[in-house]
Amino acid sequence: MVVLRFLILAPLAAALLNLFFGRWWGKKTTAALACGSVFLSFCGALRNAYAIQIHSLPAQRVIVDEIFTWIAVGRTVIRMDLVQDNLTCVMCLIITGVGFLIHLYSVGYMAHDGGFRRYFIYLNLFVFFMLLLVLADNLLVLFIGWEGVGLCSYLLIGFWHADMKNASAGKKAFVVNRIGDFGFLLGMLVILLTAGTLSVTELKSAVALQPIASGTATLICLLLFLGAAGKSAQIPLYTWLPDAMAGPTPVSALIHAATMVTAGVYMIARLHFLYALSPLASGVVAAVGAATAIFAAVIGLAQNDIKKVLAYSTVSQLGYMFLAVGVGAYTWGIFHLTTHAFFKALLFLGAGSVIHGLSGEQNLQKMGGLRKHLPVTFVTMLAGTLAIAGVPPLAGFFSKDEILVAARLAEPAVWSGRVLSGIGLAAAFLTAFYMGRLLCLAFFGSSRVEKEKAAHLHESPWTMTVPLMILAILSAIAGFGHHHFSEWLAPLFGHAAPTPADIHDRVMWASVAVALAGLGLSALFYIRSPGIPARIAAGLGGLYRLVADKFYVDELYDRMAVKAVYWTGVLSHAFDKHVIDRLVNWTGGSLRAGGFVISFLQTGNVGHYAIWFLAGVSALLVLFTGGAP
Amino acid sequence: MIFAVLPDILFYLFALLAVGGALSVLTRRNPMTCAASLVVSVLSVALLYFLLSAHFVGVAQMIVYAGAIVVLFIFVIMLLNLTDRELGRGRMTLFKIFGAFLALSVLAILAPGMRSMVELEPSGGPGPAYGGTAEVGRLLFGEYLLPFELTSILILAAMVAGVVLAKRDLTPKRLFSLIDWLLALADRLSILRSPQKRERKQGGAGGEAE
Amino acid sequence: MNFETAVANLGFRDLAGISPALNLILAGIAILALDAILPMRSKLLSAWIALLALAGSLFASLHRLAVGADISAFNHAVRMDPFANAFSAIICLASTLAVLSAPKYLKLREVHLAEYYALILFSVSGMVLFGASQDLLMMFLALETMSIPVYCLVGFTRTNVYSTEASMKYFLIGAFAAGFLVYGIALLYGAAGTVRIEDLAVGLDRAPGLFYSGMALLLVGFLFKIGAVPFHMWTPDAYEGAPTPVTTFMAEAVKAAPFGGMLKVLFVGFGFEEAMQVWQPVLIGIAVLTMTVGNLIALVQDDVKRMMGYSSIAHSGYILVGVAAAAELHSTDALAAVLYYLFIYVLMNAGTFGVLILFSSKDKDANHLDDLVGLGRERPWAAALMTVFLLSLTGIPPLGGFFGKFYIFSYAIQAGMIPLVVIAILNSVVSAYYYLKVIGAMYFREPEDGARAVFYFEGYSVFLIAMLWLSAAGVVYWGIQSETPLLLAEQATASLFKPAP
Repeated sequence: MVVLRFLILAPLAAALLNLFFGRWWGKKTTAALACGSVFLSFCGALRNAYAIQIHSLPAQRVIVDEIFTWIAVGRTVIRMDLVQDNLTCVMCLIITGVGFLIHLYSVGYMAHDGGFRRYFIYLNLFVFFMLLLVLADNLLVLFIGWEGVGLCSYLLIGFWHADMKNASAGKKAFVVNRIGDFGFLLGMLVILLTAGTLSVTELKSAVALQPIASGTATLICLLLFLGAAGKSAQIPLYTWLPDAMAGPTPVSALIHAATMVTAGVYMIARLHFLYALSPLASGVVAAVGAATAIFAAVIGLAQNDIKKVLAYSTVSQLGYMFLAVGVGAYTWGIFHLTTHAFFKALLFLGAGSVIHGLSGEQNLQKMGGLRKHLPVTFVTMLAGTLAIAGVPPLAGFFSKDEILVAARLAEPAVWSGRVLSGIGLAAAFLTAFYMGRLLCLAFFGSSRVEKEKAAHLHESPWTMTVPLMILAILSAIAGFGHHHFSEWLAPLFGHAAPTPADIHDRVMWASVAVALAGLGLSALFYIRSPGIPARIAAGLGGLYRLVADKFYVDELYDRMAVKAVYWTGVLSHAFDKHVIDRLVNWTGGSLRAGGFVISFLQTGNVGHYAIWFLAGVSALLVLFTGGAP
Repeated sequence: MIFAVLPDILFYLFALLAVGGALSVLTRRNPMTCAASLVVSVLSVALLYFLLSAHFVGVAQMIVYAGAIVVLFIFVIMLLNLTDRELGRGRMTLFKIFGAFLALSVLAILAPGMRSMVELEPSGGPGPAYGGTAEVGRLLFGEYLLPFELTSILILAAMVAGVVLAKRDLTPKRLFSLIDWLLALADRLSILRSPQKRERKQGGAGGEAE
Repeated sequence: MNFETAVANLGFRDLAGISPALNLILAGIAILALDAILPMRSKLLSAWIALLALAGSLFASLHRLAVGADISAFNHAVRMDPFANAFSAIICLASTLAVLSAPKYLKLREVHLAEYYALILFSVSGMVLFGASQDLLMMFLALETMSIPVYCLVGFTRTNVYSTEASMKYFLIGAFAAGFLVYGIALLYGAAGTVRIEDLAVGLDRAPGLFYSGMALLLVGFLFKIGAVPFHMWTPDAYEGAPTPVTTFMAEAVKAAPFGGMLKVLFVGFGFEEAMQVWQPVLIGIAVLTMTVGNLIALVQDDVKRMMGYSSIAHSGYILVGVAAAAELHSTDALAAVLYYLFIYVLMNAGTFGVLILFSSKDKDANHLDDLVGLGRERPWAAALMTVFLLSLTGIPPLGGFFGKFYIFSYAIQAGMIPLVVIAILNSVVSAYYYLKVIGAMYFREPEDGARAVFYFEGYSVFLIAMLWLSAAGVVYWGIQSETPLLLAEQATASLFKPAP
């Protein structure tokens, strides 16, 4: 068993070492430290998973590391404890495992970048905060991790901050996340007021003893969900994620696909005992998840930037996860989180490999026919596409299938199981279609690559292709572990109820059918007769423009929220300038004047000091003796 | 009869002298007069100690304060030899009056408290050997050993502080360095002086003579 | 107690009992002796001896604190209980930092003398014994042993008129205050017939007028030392005039040490209900005055050293809030918050002055706000460290200064002293203005003539760099991880009310 604090401190140590001493050693040492530390954490997490596995008693299946008491005032005690149980094991392994592969990939991807050291410092710092988020027992400590990953994400999105667009994308992510954080903070406050503790372990036992009133539980869960929606890019707070693609591609893979954006799902799974108390909140989660899944998938249909397609796909897949945890299928939500971490990281890294090979080209319309030039990338991306589309027997098929079955059987408070699973199926079809479209446009057909970029076209170095291959293998086979997975999480979420075979079969066949249909349709459209899409787009006219321009949500927000905020800002600025400022200036001025006057007493003459001293003495004497014996 | 009240009479006499001497130190402008008044005050306090049968402390007060410290003051005053102009004129400023008023008010507040002391029962009264050298020694080296020893550290620190503030030359010239002293001695005795050096020195001297 | 039993009680055990102080005294004497014997131009040996001695005392105190040792020595003249050990540890830490900051500056000013370190060690030995004293006589001697070297240290750069003047002023006012202190002790002795702190309470029944007068005058002596209004006048002059390493020493060790004796006298000697009802409201009033006056005057200072002098006055006010809260709650845990505050205060002050020393040159101190303009661009690390210290002084989470204030204020709220806390928080807000002014000067102001500011390390010193990083790490680490220091402090203050062994 590895002490948990070492697990999280390894990446932090590497970040600090590179920060302080990186100047004196080269890129190789920096990279080795960065990758090595994450690998070390991975080994530790693996060791701990094994330790948890071999314990027979459920009570022993938790590793606790009590580091110190952070704040202790009266009844409120905030302890800096780390806890690893079955759920956190999964998260830790994803973060460190996939994280390590992405670190390795980054070594090749960022090789020629001037900010090499800075990049790895941020990346290691991110892993540290993410592990803190996952392992924290206390919600406040979790929140530190939550804010920490947000900060790292902000720094990495704006990594090439010389570019104004990137800097503003970073800012957008930051601002949108603040809205979510506000909800999270309020939720924590309500928890603290009702349960008196922020420790998840204590909260769980407290809730088991005396359930929180349903109304309060709903309030808490909805507030926390607002935080989750911000971090995990759900309606209505999803707009920052597509813009976040401005960062380096491995960052998109690590932060905006595999780990950080899933923090919301993780948090809800972690607090599942609270959500179990509130069917309404769970229903909202499921409904928002389903809506996001289809909405983002529709937008994904018409994007031409390879990373934007993947970004909307991520939003859509996150919607699936929320759908799962919303209908109470926590196991399958986390399972989809896991498989998604594999295939979406793979797809992003593959896209990165394409972009790398094409000297920075991201427009799908300027690719095509790449399968001959980038064979490894092509094969691995193919595996990823089939996985995300849900083609058996790849990983995505199993996880998506289980979610759809769970949604079909659920009786949610909002909408019905049939509607949810129907939306899920539709989204699955769209997913298969736009992923097929991406693959066809990039790798098949005739080359539309610009001349000078075609000249430099090359397959990526091994540090980039090896992670691709490993992730491809994982995406292909991870699905077979679904029974083990549900067994593994059973101590937390209970055993999955047996599903009626007929419904299961029906849903399964339907999902396979829509996956194949989507892929086939995309092959028809983009390989066999490439003229069709343009005709359809022309036929649809305004509708197509609506989709291509992402339903104008950004503009809508800009109009409504941002403009409103802007005008409130202008108003409050005026108020600030003419009322508050004067008040402050007046206060500050009078304070300064007061200080100035008092400072005259400080004459520098010792005799005067003695007089004041004596005055103090007689005052004190009067006060103490009351002027009488 | 007279012997019964004599201690009281002496007490008030010396107390008045002590206070008067102290006031005189404050009000006189001539430094020598001040020093002399200080002697009066210090000696009166010593006599008060005698009246309390604290003989040892009384003698120590006389030797140390009246004998050593005030003499030192007088030396310094004579060395400085301040003229009237440098001393300035003592003027009665508002500020001084205020100070005196405050000091008196402190006294006035303290006075009632002092009165309550008069009513206190004397705690036991002095033993037969009280105030003698032996008794003081026993206390200093027994019960109050640590304060006594700490006083020596205090004085050492004060001495070092005084030397640092007063030493004229701060360049590291090692007057008291043992090794320097030995080297100088050897030099003087020409034990270590090398033949060449001696020659050069002689040559130099010869050159000067020519 | 007669002589025979007194002597029979003495033994090696007593020497071992006061070893943290004894160690420093011996090292001080060794420094003086070695300096006289060895013909060495470099005084670093003296610095090293001083550092070793301080580190030794620090670890001895910490070890004793950790194991909860409680030793009475020299016929109960001193008691090295966890409380005394905690103060000893804080003071030794503070002095270590101060000594680390000294060599560079003194060398530049050509006053790098071995006596400096000897005086520091003597002073620290007095501080260690001060918190351990069990009777007022011992306490007074310890206080003077602590003060007299500092009077000299303030005037250590003798060619500097300001330094000499500051020294003289400090000495005169200090002697004045010591007079009141002794007078207070005499009155208390008159009332109680003893100078033992735990027996002072009998004086209240025997002669209440005398007792309260003595208490007032004793408190005057302590309040002077911690720089509380209206006994604070010496602070800015002494801070500004003193060589910066001495200011460092004064702002941390000389500041923290008097609280040891003061808390002991207040909570052991005057810790019973009737007396507390008298001194606690007075302390609240003084706390309010101290915070407000300190912060208001600090607002208009442009000299960072002088500003820090007023800031130290203000911080004394915050600490007095904690003391008053502890008295109200009768809680040793609230006193532990005071100890924690002192600990953090030591670290952040050391750092702030350390950065000023870093950029002091041969002829000129970098004390003025204008001297720091452009530091953020030219010396990012130094500016970053300074920012950490200043933010901590302001009380920005998650730095130590925030948690120090947080604990003190939350105990005050528990004690129901809401108006006091409101005043204290308003004061913190005011203080943010002048701390941030320094940060503003470092980062956002341009040199007036448009030239690039030049900062060069004259006399680069590993000691100083180490001191800065240690302080910064402490402010950050012990801020986030306040459990261990608080736990130790709670042990320490709990021992205050246990009878001596």
